[in-house]
Amino acid sequence: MSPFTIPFSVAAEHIPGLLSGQVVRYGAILKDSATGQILGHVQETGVAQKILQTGLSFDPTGATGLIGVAQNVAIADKLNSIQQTLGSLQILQYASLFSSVVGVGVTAASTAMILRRLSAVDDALSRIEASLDSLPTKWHELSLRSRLVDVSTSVERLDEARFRSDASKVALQVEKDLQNSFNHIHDGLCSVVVEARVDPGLLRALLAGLSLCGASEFQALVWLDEKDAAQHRSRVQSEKLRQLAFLMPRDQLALRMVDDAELSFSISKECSEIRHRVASQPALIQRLIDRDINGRAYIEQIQQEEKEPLLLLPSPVQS
Amino acid sequence: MSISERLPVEILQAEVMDWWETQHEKVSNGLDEKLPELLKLLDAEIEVMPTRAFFRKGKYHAERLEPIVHEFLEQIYEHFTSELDEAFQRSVANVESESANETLNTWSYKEMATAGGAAVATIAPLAALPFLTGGLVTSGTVVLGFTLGSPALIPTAAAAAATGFVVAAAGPTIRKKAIKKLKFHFKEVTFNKARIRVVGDPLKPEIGSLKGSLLNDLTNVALRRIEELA
Repeated sequence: MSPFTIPFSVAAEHIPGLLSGQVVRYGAILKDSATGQILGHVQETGVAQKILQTGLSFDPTGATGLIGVAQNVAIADKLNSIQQTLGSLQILQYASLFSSVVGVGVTAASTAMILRRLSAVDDALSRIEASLDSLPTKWHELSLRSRLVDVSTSVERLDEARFRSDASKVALQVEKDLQNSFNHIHDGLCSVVVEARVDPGLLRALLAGLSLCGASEFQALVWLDEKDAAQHRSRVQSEKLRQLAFLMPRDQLALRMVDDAELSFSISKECSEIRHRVASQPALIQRLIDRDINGRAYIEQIQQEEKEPLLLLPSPVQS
Repeated sequence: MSISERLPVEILQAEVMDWWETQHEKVSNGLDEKLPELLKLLDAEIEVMPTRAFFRKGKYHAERLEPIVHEFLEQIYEHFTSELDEAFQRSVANVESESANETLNTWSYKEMATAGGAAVATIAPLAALPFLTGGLVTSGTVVLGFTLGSPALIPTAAAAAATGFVVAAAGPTIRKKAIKKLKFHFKEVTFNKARIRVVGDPLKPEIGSLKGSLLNDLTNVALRRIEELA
C-alpha cells in the first residue's frame, strides 16, 4: 500500500507552532490557538512503536508507565537518525511531542509490543502481591491479575484473526471480551482508589492495564470497521474514566498513597492525558466516517508507515 | 480566544474534569491552611474561660464557642464559594463559550451547585448545628455537651467532668494545676470537634463538614456542566 493512500500529513510540520504556543494539543487533536482552526488528529505509526521497542524501557509502576515513555533525550537520539531535516531544537521538541503522545489515536502497537507491556504489568502486580501485607478488599474477588491474562489472550486472538477465514467473527468475540475485561479492571480500580491506603505501584499497574485494554478494544472495533460502535465505545470509556476521576481527586489520592504522596500529582496528570486522548477518539472516528476511510485500511497504513513516527490526519479547512 | 471553538464536546468535558480536580485540590488545601485560624480563636476563648464555666460547659459552648465556629464556617464558606465562582466564570468563558445552552453562560456557581433549584448553596444549616454535638447522622444522648454516639470522646468528657469536681474541692496550687489540666483536655476535645466540622473525618464521611459541603457543591457543578455539554 502506498504510504499516503489516506491523506495524512506530517505531524512534525507543526512543531514550530507547538514550540511558540500557537498550536495546542488536546488529546490527539492539534488546534491553532490564534485562528481556532482544528488542524487535525495526531496519529502514532508503526515507526513510533519500533523506536519504543529498541531499548526504551516500559515500567508500569514507574514514571513512564501509563502512557508511554518520557525519556526525551533517548528519543531525540533515535529521532535524529530518521529526521535529518529538523534542527536540534526541533528534534527536542519533537521528542517531547512524541513522548507525550505515544499511543495516541488508534494504537499502532504491534501485538508483540502490547503483550510485552501487559507482561510487564503482570510482573509488577506479581511483585506487589508478594510485598503487600494486605491487598485491597476486593482484590481476590475481582481476580484482577487474571483479567490481564484475558486481555493478553484477546490481543493474541485479534492478531491471529487476519490469518483466519472467520476473521470478523473472531474479532467480534475479541472486542466483546476486551470490553468485559475493561469493565472488570475499571470496577477493580474504583474499589482500589477508595481504600484508606492505596499502594502507588498497584494503582499505576492497574491504570496501565486499563489503558492498554481500552486501546486494544478501540483498535478492534476500528479494525472491524465498526466506526459508529467505536465512536460510541470511546464515549462509554470516557464516561467510565470520569467516574474513576471523581473517586480519585489528586488531593485525596495524596492522602491515601502509601509512602509516596508526591506520585499522586504525576498519576493525576497522566490520568488527565488518558481522558483527553479517549475524548478525542470520537472526533477521529467522525473524520474517518466523513472521508469514508475504511478502519482496517487505516490501521494497516499506520502500522506499515516506515518513515514518520507521527502523522496528522488533517481536518477540512473551516471557514 | 476561548478553547471551546470547534473542539469536540468530549474534549470540553475532559477540560471540565481538569477544572474540577484543580478546584478540589484548592479547596482541600485551602481549608487545611485556614483551620489553624479557628483553633487559635477557640484557644484564646478557652484560655480566658472562668473556672465556674466548667460546671456549665453546655452554656459556655452555646454562648461563647458556638458563635465563633458559626461565624468562621459562614465566612470561610463565603470566601471559598466566591473564589470558586470566579474560577467557574473563567472556566465557563473558556470551555463553554460556544455552547448553545444558555444555562451555562448565565447561571452563577451557587445556582449550578443546587442544580438550578429555588434554594442556593449555603452552609447555614451546617453552621447552625452545635459544633460539639451536631453534624452527626446518628443521634445520641448528650452528656456534658458530648454525644454518646461518639464513644471516643466519652472518656475525655468523663475525665474533664471528674477533674471539675476535683477543682472545686482542692487548695490553690492543686487547683491551679487542675484548671490547667482541665483546660488542656477541654481544648483537645473542642479542637478535635472543630477540626472535624471544618475538614471532616475521612473515616466518618457521614459527619457533615465545611469541606464536605464545599466539595459536594463543586462536584454538583462539574456534573451539571458535563451534562449540559453533552
